[in-house]
Amino acid sequence: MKRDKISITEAELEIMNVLWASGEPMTAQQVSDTLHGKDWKYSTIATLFSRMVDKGTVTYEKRGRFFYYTPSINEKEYKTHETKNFISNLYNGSVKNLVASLFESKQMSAEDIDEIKKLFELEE
Amino acid sequence: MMSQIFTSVLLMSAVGSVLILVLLMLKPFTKKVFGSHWQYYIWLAVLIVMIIPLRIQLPSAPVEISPEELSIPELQTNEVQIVEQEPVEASNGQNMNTVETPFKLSDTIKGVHAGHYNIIIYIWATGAALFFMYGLFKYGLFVNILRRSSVKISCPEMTKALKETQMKNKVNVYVTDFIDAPMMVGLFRTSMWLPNHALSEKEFHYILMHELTHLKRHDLLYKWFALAVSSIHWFNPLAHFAVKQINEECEISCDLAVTTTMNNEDKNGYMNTILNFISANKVREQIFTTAMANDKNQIIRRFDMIRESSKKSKIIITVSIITALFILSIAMMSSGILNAKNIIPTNEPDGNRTNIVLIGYVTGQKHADTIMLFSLDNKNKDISILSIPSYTQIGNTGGLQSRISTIYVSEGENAVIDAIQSFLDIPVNYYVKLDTDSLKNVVDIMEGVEYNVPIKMVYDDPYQNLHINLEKGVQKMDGSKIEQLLRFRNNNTPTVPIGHIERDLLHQDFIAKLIRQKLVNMDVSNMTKLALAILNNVETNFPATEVPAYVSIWKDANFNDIKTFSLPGENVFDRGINNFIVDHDGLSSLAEQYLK
Repeated sequence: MKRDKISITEAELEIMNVLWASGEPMTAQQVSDTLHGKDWKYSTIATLFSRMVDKGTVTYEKRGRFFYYTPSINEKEYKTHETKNFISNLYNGSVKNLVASLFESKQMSAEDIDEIKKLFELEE
Repeated sequence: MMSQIFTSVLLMSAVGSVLILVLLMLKPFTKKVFGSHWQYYIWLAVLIVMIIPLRIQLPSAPVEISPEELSIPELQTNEVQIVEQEPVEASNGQNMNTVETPFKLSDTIKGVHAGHYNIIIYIWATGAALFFMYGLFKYGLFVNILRRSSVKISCPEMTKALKETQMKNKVNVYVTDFIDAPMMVGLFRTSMWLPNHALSEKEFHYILMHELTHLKRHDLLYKWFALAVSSIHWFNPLAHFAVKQINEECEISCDLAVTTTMNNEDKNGYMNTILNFISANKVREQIFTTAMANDKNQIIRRFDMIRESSKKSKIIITVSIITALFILSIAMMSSGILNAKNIIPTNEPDGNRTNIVLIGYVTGQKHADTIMLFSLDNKNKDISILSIPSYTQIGNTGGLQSRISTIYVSEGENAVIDAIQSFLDIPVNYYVKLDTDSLKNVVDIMEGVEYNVPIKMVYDDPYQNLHINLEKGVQKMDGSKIEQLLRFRNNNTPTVPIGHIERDLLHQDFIAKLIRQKLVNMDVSNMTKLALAILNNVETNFPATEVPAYVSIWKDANFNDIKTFSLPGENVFDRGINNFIVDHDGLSSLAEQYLK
């Protein structure tokens, strides 16, 4: 499972939900129209989109004059990721003291792992 | 009751903290010499010390006999008239203090208003409950989410392994996307949860070994126990530190148990399995956090242990066990001894009757000059006051050390209460300690009292800074005059001393008159204020929260009919000591009628 840090703000999540719901690439204008209840200006949405493109959570293709945006993570993936984060927080909070696991949720870099492998001569 | 529990908790926390620090200091040494298993299980000693309140009553130390205490036989009389004969007791009890003063937690909290102490107790209790329930809640949430997302798989290897090791447990195995590491969850129906990775047969075998070892050793029980203890001691950071240590050592010693009989190839396989899991969720960011460094070091520590694992010699094992038991006993003993010196007597009033023992003493001195038992019949609203002479002999041994006042000096109010309950067979619900300074305050709060001083009292003792000068007759007495009245034993010249009994009767009479004068026709609001003000000025285990209940019962009581009694018995002079020997038959009929 891809383990890049997925970061989506609350506002961005709104937009993602729209994209996921439609299942098709959408322009900023279309999203804005769908979200008309929210009272967001078009420019806000455009800014959000550009941020998401930078973060890599959304990709775009240019068709004619407009940019069509597609989410680069699917909804299930995201929900899983969020749940996993949540579980992780619970675990690190205090649940780890009540369960017996092989190791505590470790976050180590590839370098760290290599270092350990070398240290203990564990190259397979 | 609550304050007794809370005081115990504080004491256990203190002793536990000391133990934790000691273990921490010894860790480099003990880890090397005694090994990981010892390191893991020694924390059990900490948990035990912090959850089991012991009470160890030390035998009372012998008391040095000072000349002041040697008394000359008194002529017995029960009239309130002042009579001759008085043991020469110029300086009263100042030399009784050859016995070490026991540490008093209550002294430390002395400045705290009775009411404030109760607030602290409630905060503690709430904190403990919240802490535990919050932990439980998170755990429940965790298990719930996992269950909903998981798939149960059949696991013949598990069944086989359980059978081989003859464990009776039934362990279900689930797979879920939401965890990174295999884990055992659940105290009662333990299940094994696996992350959604492909595993080779060998890898799975290692995991199984690891998790089943946890199961076999009841590590989950240990962990939950630690949670319970750390909830009680939620306010103590060292308790949480201990929990952290327990969890770390748990894994390390588990590794040890699993790999100890493995050959090198298997050990490597085991270590690689762990690394593979970690690899699966490695972080790509280069941001370095201290948490990551810690994680890395933890793994290195574990792997070191696995590589290094050598069987400890029998001698070392024996020594380590002895050391562990030694540490545990010392800790438990300290806790027990400290606890005995601070336990507040239990004995909830039964609703109908409340008995309160009053111990009066001169500010700055240790000797209990006055001991009175107030028996409140809450149903009939009658008050009886029993005077207990300070030289009453408790038990049948005799001698100075058996006097109730000596017991007070060497063992404190708890021992006095014990004596009254066991030896005199009268229940005691609360104690009040009143020193002369506080008495002065109380009398002044009540704006003085009118009293008929029986004789002219003039006495000066520069050593004690005691100067008594009272005219005979009815007069308004302020706090200072009351103190003089109550401390009077004899005039300068000619010696017109009053005996012990007479003094006790005088004290009784004074209190009865004081109650009558002040409390009759007092309204609820004033009575409440007065009660709280008194509580503020004395050392007591009477909870301020009970005041409203008592005031509402006693607000229209008949204070004119207070009965006063002396403890039935007689002076007995034996081997140079004059003790008051209780007449148990006389006492029991008196007690049945008026005190129980």
